[in-house]
Amino acid sequence: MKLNLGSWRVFAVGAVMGLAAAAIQAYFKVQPEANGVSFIGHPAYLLDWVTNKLGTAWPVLQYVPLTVIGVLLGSLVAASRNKELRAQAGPVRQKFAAVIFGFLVANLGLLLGSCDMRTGLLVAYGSVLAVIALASIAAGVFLAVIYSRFRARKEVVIK
Amino acid sequence: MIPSLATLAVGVLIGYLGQRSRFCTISGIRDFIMLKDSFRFKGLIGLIVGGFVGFTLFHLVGGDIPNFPLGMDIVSKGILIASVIGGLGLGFFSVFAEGCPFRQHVMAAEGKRSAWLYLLGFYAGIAYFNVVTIKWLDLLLKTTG
Repeated sequence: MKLNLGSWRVFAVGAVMGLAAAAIQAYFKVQPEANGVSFIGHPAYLLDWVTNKLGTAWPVLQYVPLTVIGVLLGSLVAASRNKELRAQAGPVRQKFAAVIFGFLVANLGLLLGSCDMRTGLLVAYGSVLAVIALASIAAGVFLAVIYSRFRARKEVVIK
Repeated sequence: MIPSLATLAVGVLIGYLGQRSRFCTISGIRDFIMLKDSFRFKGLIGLIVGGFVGFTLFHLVGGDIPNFPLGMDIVSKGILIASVIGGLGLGFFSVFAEGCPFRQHVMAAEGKRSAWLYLLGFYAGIAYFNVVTIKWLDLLLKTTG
């Protein structure tokens, strides 16, 4: 049986993610608050745990978050089952730019203290700081859209 | 061990669902601002609604949901400044990277080379933060109180 949710499919996926994050915090001791899903914190703690085995003393949690490994496995299975698994260029054309964007997002995300998804979860947790942070993320996206439009218009004028 | 396995299980679930639905919070906000298209934006709304329902429900039935709701948690000016700068930058550069860190992990698993390069920079960035940026953050927190 296939459930057809139309344009609400992504909403349903988001809701399942939110519920799952709440459930593992409530019953599997995944702390601190609203940390069930995080794509800045969990990768950082996993990397810190690995590098600490090599001699660093970077901050770690009481458990090793394996969310990143799970997501890679889950999406690999999904892509493979639906014949979408193949080596391809990806959305960012300039290779060096992709590396720089990753580097900057990691640093700015750690400065913020959470990724966009955990910020959403913290909003659900009732955090006032997270509301401001989410508004800042939206403002950053808005500025990027304005900058892209400005650059595109400039290129048209030059041509 | 159990929390690690729980995060692994949730990771597999959201990885599978995220790949099938193209879930991405940054693209959702971008599409909504740029094209007035709310398709992917609904994912972020769903995450907040699902999280709120989950936290409330599990709090009521006795799950471990401490300090819920968090409320006014701005403990210092420095934290607020760091959050605003971090949020602005994360939103800005994620648009040019064509997706949030979650989406980049999904795209890397699909075989997209630019996502692999993004993750290379991402993990190098985490290491750089631990060595350099954290000192700037400490300085900011000390000077702003």
